[in-house]
Amino acid sequence: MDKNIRILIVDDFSTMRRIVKNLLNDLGFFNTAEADDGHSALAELRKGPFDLVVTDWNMPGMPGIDLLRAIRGDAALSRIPVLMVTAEAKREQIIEAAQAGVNGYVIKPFTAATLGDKLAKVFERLGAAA
Amino acid sequence: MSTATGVAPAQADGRQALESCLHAALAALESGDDRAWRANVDELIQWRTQPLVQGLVRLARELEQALGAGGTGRNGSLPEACLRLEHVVKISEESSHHTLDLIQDCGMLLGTLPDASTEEQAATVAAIRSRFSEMTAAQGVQDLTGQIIRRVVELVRAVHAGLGAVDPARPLQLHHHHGSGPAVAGLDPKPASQEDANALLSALGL
Repeated sequence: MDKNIRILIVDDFSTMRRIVKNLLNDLGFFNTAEADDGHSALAELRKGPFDLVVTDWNMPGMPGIDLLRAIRGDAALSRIPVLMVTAEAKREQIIEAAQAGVNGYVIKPFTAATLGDKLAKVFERLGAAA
Repeated sequence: MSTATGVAPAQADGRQALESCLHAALAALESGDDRAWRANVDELIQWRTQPLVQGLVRLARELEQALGAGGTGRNGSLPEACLRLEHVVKISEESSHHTLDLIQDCGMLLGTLPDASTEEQAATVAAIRSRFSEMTAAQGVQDLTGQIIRRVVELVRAVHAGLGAVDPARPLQLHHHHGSGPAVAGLDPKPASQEDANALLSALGL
């Protein structure tokens, strides 16, 4: 796995953005950027190439599920894998995210091991599909 | 001031209007005039509900004054309660950042140690780093408590705004389409665990 891939972290809480960033650093991924809701995330995504989006669901402005749909609906962004990291844990929400095209779903609170495991699975599937 | 019968003039006028409305409704019903019958019945219903609505609006204004604009600095107003809750979110966020700073410092200090000379030492350093990662992830509780508190703040603000503009036809409600936030035991349905989510996504082909 190329550890230099560019990752966008989207969460309205600065603590959670830092946590995800630090955990990605622990796993060897240092090329990250941050956004605090779906609108600012889309602006970042349109500015430069990104290889992965890690996003929360519940955010003011544009929530993560709408960001996911916007990414899948934009020809230039639609192939970017999206990992949802969220406290939204209703069965129908997980199904909604899957139908919208999510690549992985991590329920908060999560452990570092779970995040690492999910990232590895996303990359593994993308590697197999490439 | 009362009349000779002990009924106030305004009340007597009202009673007379009510009687004529009732007579008109009865006459319309007997003559088969549906439109006039409905109009008179609607007027009677309005007559009946008006004092209730006026009472509710007055009560809401008094409550709004007591809990909102009339905040007296004695910790009693709804806006003040919201500010206090937002302060809790802010200080717990700052505290989490401080803990994350310390975890990062410890990681850097660990990096200044001489290279491990035995496999056992290397395994210990790796175990410490793994625990630092889990401590980092554990700070995520601030995000969860923050989401719950922000939801309560939004509800309190909706109640406060609603008290100032009571409209019986539009009950108070949250305009919250961003998600439900963390599930609270005893209040929300049991949330899916990570294992449930994995199984569900797997069944959906992910």
